[in-house]
Amino acid sequence: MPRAKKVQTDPDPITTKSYSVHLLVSMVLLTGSLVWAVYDEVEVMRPYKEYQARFQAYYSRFLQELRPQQAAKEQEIRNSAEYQEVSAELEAAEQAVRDRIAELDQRTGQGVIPRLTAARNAFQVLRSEIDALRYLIEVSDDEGERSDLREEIAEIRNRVVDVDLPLADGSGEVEEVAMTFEDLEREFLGLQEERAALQSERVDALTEANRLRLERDGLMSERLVGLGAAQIDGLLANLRDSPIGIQQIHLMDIDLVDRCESCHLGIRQPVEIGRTDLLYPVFQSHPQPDLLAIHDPEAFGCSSCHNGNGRATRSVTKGHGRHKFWLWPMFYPENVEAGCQQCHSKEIVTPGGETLNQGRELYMNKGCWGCHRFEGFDAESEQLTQVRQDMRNLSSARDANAKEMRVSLDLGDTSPDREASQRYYARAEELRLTNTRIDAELHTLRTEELNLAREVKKFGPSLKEIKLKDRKEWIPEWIKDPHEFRPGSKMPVFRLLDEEVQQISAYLWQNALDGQLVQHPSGDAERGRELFETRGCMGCHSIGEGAEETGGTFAANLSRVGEKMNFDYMVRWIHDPSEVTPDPAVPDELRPRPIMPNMRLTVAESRDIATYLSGQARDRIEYPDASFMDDPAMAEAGLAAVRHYGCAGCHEISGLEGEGRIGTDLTFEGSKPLDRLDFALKTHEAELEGWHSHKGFFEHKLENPAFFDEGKEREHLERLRMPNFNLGADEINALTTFLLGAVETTFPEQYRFEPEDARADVQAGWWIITRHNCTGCHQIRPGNVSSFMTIPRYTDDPDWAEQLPPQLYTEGARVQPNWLTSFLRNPALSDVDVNRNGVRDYLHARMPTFYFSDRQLAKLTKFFMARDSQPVPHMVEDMEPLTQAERSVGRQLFTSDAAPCLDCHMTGVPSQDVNATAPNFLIAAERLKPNWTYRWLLEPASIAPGTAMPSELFQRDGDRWVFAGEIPQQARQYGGDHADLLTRYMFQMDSAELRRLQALQ
Amino acid sequence: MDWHQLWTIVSLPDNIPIVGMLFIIPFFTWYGLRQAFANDRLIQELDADKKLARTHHRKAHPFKKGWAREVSVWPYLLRMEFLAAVIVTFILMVWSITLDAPLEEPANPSLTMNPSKAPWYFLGLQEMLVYFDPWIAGVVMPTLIIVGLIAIPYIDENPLGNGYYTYKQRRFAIWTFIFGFIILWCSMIVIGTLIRGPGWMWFWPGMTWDHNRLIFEINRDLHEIIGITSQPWIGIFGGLVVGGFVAVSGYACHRIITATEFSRNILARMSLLQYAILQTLLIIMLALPVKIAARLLFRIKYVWVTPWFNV
Repeated sequence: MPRAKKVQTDPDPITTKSYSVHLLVSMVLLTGSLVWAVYDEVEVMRPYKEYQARFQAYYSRFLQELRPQQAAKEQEIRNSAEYQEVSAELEAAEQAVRDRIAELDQRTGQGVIPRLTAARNAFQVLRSEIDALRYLIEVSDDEGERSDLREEIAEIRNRVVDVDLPLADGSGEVEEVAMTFEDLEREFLGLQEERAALQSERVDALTEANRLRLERDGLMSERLVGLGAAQIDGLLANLRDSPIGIQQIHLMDIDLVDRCESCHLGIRQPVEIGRTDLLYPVFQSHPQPDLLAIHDPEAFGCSSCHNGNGRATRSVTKGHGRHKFWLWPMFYPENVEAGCQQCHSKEIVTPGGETLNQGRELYMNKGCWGCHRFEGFDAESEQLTQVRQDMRNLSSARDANAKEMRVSLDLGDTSPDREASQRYYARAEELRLTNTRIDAELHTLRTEELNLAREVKKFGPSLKEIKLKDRKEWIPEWIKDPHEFRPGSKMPVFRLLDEEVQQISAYLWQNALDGQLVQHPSGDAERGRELFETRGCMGCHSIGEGAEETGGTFAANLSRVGEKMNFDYMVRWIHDPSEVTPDPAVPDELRPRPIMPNMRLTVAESRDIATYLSGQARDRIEYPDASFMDDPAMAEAGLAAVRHYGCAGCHEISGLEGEGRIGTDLTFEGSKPLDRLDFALKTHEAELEGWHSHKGFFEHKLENPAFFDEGKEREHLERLRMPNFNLGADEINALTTFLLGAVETTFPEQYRFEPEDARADVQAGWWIITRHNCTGCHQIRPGNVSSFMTIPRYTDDPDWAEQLPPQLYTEGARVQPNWLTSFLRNPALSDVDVNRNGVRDYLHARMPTFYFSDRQLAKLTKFFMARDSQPVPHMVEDMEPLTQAERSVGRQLFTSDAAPCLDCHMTGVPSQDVNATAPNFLIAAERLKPNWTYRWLLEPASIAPGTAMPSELFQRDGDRWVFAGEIPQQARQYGGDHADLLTRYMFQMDSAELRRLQALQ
Repeated sequence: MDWHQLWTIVSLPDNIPIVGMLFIIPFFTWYGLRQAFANDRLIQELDADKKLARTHHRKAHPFKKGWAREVSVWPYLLRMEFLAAVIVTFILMVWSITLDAPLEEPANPSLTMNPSKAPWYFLGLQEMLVYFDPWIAGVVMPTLIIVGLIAIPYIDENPLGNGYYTYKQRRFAIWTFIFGFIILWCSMIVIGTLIRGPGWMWFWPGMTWDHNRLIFEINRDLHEIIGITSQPWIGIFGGLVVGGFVAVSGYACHRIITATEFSRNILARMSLLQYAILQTLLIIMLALPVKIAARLLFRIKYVWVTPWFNV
């Protein structure tokens, strides 16, 4: 401190000013920030701790409340007679062996084991000493040393040691025995054997008691819904002991770390926890435990399906990935099935994924794939291209081989060297054989090409025939706004200028084929209506406008078809949709077949239906003059418009057969970087309103495809082209779900569902089924509602309910694959008598003939077989021939009053078949599988719910089934299984036998 | 005025240092200059009063009676530094607790973000790329900045102003610093952070960063404007223009260097090499604002186009 002078002075601010307060305040702040940092680290950044504390509290309360209920239920079961009986038996069994068990336990525990332990200890000392010396021998180089060591071992083996062995009688007394190594070894091994023998004796004695205990516990677990009291106590104990901390699943191979269960603690609890059971929905258990059972979270994690940021535990927003910078935000509940698509991308039907399935089906049945490629959709056209490429390659390889062969032969002829010339000949021979193989391969490919050409189908109808098919003036009106004419039509609304409408109409009109149609007189409209409503047209087509609409939505609503379609064309189309006007541009064998199947109607019937449909029209509206459609200049301008709007994506148009798709490939649209989705002028709005995401983009785009054009200053042709499908909210959501799941997955193969076994057949089959709308008539999956089931006639009248097309839940188990293939190829099962159903002629609805290729027939057959786990290839079961006596019994059973089979089953006699509601027995042997038939006889209702076939025809008698009704005379003496006898009888029925039966009746 | 956009930009954790810089740099410049002016007054006083200068060890202005003639580093300086360290640590603690690291989505090599910005301390360099050939802006200029900073002690022949704030004795150095660092470097960082939006377009604060924004801007080389179309005339023309700039700005710098008696004395102490280096660095530094002005006001892309480099 400098000395202060006496003079008047000012205090020196540097030396005199105290900074204690500043220092104190800043130190306090610093310390405070340190405390804050610790608190932040321990509490704020670990919000799951709070969740876990709450979960423990609420869940134990929940379990404690649950316990008495479950305990009461358990008690109730314990009090049941059956349980009591088994318990008593168990107790008796245990009582019977109790003394024996006690004796065995005593001998083992007190006698053998103490002696064994003592012997083992002594034995092990010597053995380790010997083992150590052996090792020294093994590593020693010196022969002398080795023999010394061997001597030492021999000395140990001969050494006599005193061992204190407790007596084996369990008295607890100890004897001292002098033993060598060998004695000890013998003693030790002997005791081990003795112990094993005692133990197995114990197990044998308890066998009966254990069986009864299993039975008793089985009874309990079978009857008790939910957990038992002991299990609940176990859960409570676990809960008390469980430490607070991060709960995570770590999958090494995909580098996935999911800590979701740090907060979602109830997800995998064995008790079902509802949304509000523990106050907060976060604690509810997984709503679909079945799904979790297939996708074990320990193997799949959570975020692999749900998306979100599995590592983040700081906040809900971060964990769910609802964050600008997290590229895989968690799917919203309405789109949760998008997660399935990531791995189930090869399927069109995923069981349980109803929204996703709807989305895929819409993609298929709204024709999205006409413009937008999506892997799997319209795969046939790509395969066709590939096959043709392969054929070209093979042909050129063949030509090259042929050339080389000729050269080799020449060289062989001219070569002076014998050995060399033989080499050349051998080479020529090899090439000749190679070419033979190539020929075979080419033939296979050609078959494949024909198959594929038959399968490739554009989405919309062919426009090559509009001159014959449609009313000229109607065409521009339709193109302008299809939904005006036919609301909900699959043809979407394009934003066309009037001149474009005229140009396109003119182009299509002038490029359509010219041809002749057979002239038909009109038929009976009333009969036509009946046929239309019952033959099966309404499985796909609907009729009636607005609220009156009934029938399927797969194909067009025909309410106003009379205004547009030419009658003669309609007759031809209904009679045989594959009949077309010859098209010089396409060879007949490569001609695409329509999706509409052949209903195998007579011309007269077709005429009746066409007459009925022609009457389906509003009061004739005058269409404006369309003479511009004949103006060649218009047509020329139209070509550009047709190309621009991609009409040929969905329609066959003359001159545009090879036209490609105009839209973007959507296979991986869900993982496209967000920046590449053009929100245009809506970007800022989307960011502010929180829909700047894939979901937001898809939803807005689907709702209004021109949305992102709004406000843009653009030429007409530069505007967005995607037409408006006027989709409903649920359809938009389904398609959004599908597109969100359409991602380039990073999961390795074992995570993706791409089976190569029978399940692949199931996947492949669904594609054909969806494309051909088999579910419009048949129920193929439980819960699937066919179009028929929505038609009032079938829902209201029980007689008509029996007319529903058959359910196909277990078709693969029911029928033989070869028969199924031939049935699908020709459901009439006859080449001559085609105007009928081959199996169920009593149905008004007709199984139509689809234009399936052989490949598709094989796929469909394999689909049904695979779904019912049928072995491939199918081996026909051997069937024991009927003896004369058996035949007679079978005949009696068949015609007994209690089982009047022929009352319902067809016989082929028209007068009798009027009331038939079941197939003819004559085709059973060829069609059915005996094993299935046997089960069907016993329990038809569990195979086809709601079937008219009566159940409980048989009852159990010992180890055989006997007829439940009054048993006919001869059958009483028959000692075999009646159901089996009937099956065999049925399979060996011929028309003579059938006639005899009819006579008997 | 899009307040939301403005807030989005200034609240980005990445941009916090820049927003802080907007206030801190003017403050410390003012604070330093205030002390420098105070010291200048003291120097004036001491120059006038030789007696006072002899006894006046502690250079404080105005010096009051009773004040210590000298103060020790310990404890008087160190306690202040300690206090400052505590406060800075406190600020850093709070900062690190409240603001997370500005991490974004995982890098995607096939996708460039827009705008794609360098870390804040490199934004000045990135901004230079707008005005110069990448070779000049990315390699030559940064190298010269570092070389120039290293060279300062060797070309600075002014013996005064060490260890205390002064304006009068280091007028040239202070103005060079203010021009080179605060005006050029810092403002380019601020432009890069707050002004440059999608497409590296110029968005005034408060304008919406619209990814769809299109502006009509055609930058042309100077020779195109003049109408010279072929080499070597293009190169010769550009060389003449750049040579002219060097001559004019060299002359202007020389006028500044020799503006006062004081600076002429300093110049007299310098060797020719020192002077040449100083001139080179000054001319290149001056070229930056000239080029910025040429680009922003006259849409001139390059002045000197040669097959090897463009200026």
